[in-house]
Amino acid sequence: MKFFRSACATEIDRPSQLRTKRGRLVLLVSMMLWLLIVGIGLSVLWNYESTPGASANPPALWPVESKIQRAPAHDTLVILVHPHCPCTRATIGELAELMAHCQGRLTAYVLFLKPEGFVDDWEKTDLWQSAASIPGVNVMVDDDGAEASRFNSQTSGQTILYDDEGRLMFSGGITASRGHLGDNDGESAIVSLVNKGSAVRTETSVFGCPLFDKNSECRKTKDKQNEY
Amino acid sequence: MNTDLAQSKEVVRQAADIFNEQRQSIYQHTDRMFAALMLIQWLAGIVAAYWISPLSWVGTTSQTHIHVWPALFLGGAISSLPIALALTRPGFASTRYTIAVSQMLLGALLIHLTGGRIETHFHVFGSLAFLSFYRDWRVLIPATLVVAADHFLRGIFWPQSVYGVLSASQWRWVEHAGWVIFEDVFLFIAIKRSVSEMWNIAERTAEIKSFNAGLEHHVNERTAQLVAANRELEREVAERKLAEEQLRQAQKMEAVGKLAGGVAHDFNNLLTIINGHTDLSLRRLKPDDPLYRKLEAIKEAGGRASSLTRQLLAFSRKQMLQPKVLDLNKAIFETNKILQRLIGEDIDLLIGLAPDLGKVKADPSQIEQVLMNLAVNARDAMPSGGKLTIETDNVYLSENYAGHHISVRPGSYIMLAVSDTGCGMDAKTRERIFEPFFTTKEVGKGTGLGLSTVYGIVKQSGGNIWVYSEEGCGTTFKIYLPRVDQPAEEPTTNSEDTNLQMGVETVLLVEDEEMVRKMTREILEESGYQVLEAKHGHEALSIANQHKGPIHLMLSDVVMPQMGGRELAERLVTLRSETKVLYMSGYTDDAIVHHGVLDEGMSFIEKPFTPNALTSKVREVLNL
Repeated sequence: MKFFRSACATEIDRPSQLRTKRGRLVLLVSMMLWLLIVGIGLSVLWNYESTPGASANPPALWPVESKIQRAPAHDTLVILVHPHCPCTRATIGELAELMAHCQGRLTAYVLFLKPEGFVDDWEKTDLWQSAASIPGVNVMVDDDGAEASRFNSQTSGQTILYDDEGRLMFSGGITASRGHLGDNDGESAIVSLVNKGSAVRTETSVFGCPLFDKNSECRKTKDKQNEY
Repeated sequence: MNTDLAQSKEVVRQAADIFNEQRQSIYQHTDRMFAALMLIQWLAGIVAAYWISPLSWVGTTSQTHIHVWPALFLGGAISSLPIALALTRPGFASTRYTIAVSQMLLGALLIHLTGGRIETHFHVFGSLAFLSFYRDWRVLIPATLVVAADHFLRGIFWPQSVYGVLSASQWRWVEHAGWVIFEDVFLFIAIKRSVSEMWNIAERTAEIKSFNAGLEHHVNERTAQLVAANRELEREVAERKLAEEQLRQAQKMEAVGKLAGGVAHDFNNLLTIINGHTDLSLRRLKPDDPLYRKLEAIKEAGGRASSLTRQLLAFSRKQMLQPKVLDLNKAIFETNKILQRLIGEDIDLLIGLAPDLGKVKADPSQIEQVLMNLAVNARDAMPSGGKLTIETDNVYLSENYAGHHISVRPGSYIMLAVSDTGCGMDAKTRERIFEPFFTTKEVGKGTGLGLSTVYGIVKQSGGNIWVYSEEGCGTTFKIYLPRVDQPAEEPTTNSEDTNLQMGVETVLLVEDEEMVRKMTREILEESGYQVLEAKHGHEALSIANQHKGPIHLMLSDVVMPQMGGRELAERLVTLRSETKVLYMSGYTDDAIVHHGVLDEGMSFIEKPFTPNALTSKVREVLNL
């Protein structure tokens, strides 16, 4: 009782200026404007975070020309990564969780794009180190995006799962939004496919930087393939 | 009981004041802390954005990552209002609530900027704890609502970004908000306890303050009482000193008066003989006799000596008075001309007489003497001229006044004030002015008996005299004579017959002083009387027994050894009831004269007397 009484007592000492109508109106308008600006800003940010990149269109069967050694006894996971994409850090983080859930039943390859003419080790970023440190994960350089082109991938973080017979099982991203860690449909689907052989979803949105320049040959090739 | 209740209410009111003051201080302090924190968080967001995602890439080309801009601008926007309010309006509830909302929005932004790291989510819970620093549970409400709204709205519009799935349950936000509320509950309890302790401390502080105030009030009250008591004591000491001084002065005057009176009495006996024999001798000589002029010189000297002894007697209050109810205004008016002549032309005489002035009982001739003596004294104090003011007034001397002036009895008085604008006198002179033979005048210019005489007359008349004087300003004598409610009497004039009053009757003369007795006998016999002479009372009674003829008058001294004159007269009456009695004495305060006033029915002649005065008085008594 004393607590509530004393809490109410604090309202007695409001400075008189607050009691003026004009002061209250100015304060109210300021707060409303502020909330509006902040709300708009946050909406833009959330919208950006939730806007996916271009989805991949990987071949239904493992491309034979790929230089990646597909695992014959269990599923193979391929992730195409732009080494400098900050959003992909979340993808690598989720990969670590995913691999923990699929121990021994999944071989993963993380392919780091290295455009032609770029300096050596341009692709050896912290993402490389992070990916390489995950047990069961192989990191490889994707020179000039050749493998990305083979898997028809355009967005960093594109994750593709093939079964032990080379059949496409899943394609999409393993983050819920752009660069955002946490539970997501893609990761859940892969874990389910690897462990149970089936999943509710086999495709999800992918959030990351575009792997290729807008006018690059790779993109053109892929775009043409899409046209056909 | 009512006092206790009032005190209790006052303590509660003071406690509320202290509590509110303390709480306001906490609000303001926490506002300032949050202002600093907001700034730090904003900068931290920018640093995090630059560190975690400085650039976004499109193939081989890069650009500033879009996260940098919200970190900079959105973070700034979120922080700006609460910082501004915390700096300009610290302590306001609106400031606290804005800060609470901002803090949670900044948390949301930071979580985004750090890629949704689970560690960054602790910002939400840390912020709630920090908000509890306000010790105002209400700030937790907007903070919690922001978290709930964030999850609710994103669950609707961007469900995957917050729940990781595209089709999350519409109540999923409740789970997230629930954990925040979970913390809120504990914070609420902690705040409640903290506020309760604050209230208890405020109450104790108020009680201590109240006690201290009471103590201080008590101390001040006691100090004031002690100061008042000290002042009263000092006043009483001063009054006592004044009273002691007045008493000492009065005792001194009394002693001096007795001495002067005693001397005057003896002188009177001697002067009676000297003046009497001189008169008798002059009667027997012719004016051309060589001894005649010498005897006249002796007579003159005797007269002056008699005057001096009269003044001494006046001072010592031993002179014979003939008091009458008189109007002092009238007495002053009648003396006006004499006074004017006395003070001269250089001095203005101003007279302010109160209308309806009451009456006094005093000897008119003595009052005249008082006025003249004071006027002479004033004149001598103003050798270069000035103003002599004589005023009268009816006054009432209160008990309070009487308490401050020794020998004053409260009652109605007539005030006679005689003021001059003369040289005034210092305190030492003031103390001695009434002493006989004290004078500040040059040798030969004053007898030193003027003011002594005034003092004696006033005192003998039952009054008081006070002097107020300031050097260079002047002096005021204030005489207070008791007021009497009787009509004024007409003055009588005593004219002494210049010739001896003759007679043939038999006079029994009783006087222990032989020389006086012989001289008196000689005067009476020269006037034709038959004189029977006795040295004392017993002899007188014996003569009265043995004398065959009538004894018409007994002329007896009053103060005699063995038997006084009054006792002798009373015993004589039993032997000779027809014998009349005339007393003679140099004393005015004896068996028949009290305070200078003769007892009723008595006949009296004061020594020294002249032969004419004696024979006149004898004749007067015999003729009664």
